Amino acid sequence: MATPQRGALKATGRSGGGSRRPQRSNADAPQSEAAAQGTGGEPDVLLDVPKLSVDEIGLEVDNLQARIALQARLADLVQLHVGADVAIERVALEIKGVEAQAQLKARLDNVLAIVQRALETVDQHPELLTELARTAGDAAGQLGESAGQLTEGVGLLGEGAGRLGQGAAEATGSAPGRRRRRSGGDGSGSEPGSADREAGSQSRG
Amino acid sequence: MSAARTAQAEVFAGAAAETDETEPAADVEIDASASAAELRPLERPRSASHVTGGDDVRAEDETRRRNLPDRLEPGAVYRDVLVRRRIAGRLPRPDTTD
Repeated sequence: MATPQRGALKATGRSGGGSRRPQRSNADAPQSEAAAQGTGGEPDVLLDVPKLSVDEIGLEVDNLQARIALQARLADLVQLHVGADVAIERVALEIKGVEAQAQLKARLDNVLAIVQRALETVDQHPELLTELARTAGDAAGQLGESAGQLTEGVGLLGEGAGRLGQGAAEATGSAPGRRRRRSGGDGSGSEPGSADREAGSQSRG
Repeated sequence: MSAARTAQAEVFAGAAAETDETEPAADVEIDASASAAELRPLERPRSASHVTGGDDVRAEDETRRRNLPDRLEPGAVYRDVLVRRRIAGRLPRPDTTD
């Protein structure tokens, strides 16, 4: 009978001043040690399933995804992205005497080095900041221009609506009998606003 | 230690020995392994893995199998099996020379 002994699902991390060595709940896990030794350097973020043992199990898995990614951006100077994705669409197994481990790791040393290098470059070539500011200014200018065009568009829309109202007034004015009845007056159509309201009521009716 | 566990340790030790220890560690990494005394797939497994990032990202992809064919046959029984899958991504290292 299946007697699963679940390994602890553990996530560890560190900040700049903390310990660099993640804690492990199972120090003799062969993969953990081999992987750590083989690739050098301790991870800054570690999701560790150090040992999962099951005597016997029937396993069905649908749409399981594991993903770990690093993203960093320093203004428009540096943009970094690297990730690892694993997806199991469908697995159905019967297994006996299973032992399994899994680890997701991320290391930030290189990202830090890249960002530091970029900052050093800026320090040595401060004119880069001027260039960056100009780029940002251009972007803001384009944004303002777009906003201006939008306002202009709204103005045209208002103007169009005015013409529509005027057109509606003229159309209503060209139906003298009705206009006379409604206004009860001379049919001059001298009050566009009232004509607009009338046109509206006609469309509703 | 079980026979499967001992064999698993040997495979991992071999993997570690083959790795260039002078090379910096990967920036991101997923490493998973499983061993079993007996395995019977009910269906052909469907899975995928990949490294994401820009053109300058270097991907590493490693699979190790013992007593398992590349393509599993549903209903077949495989004994004393082991599989390890590792994928990793590396950003370019900054040039430290001026």
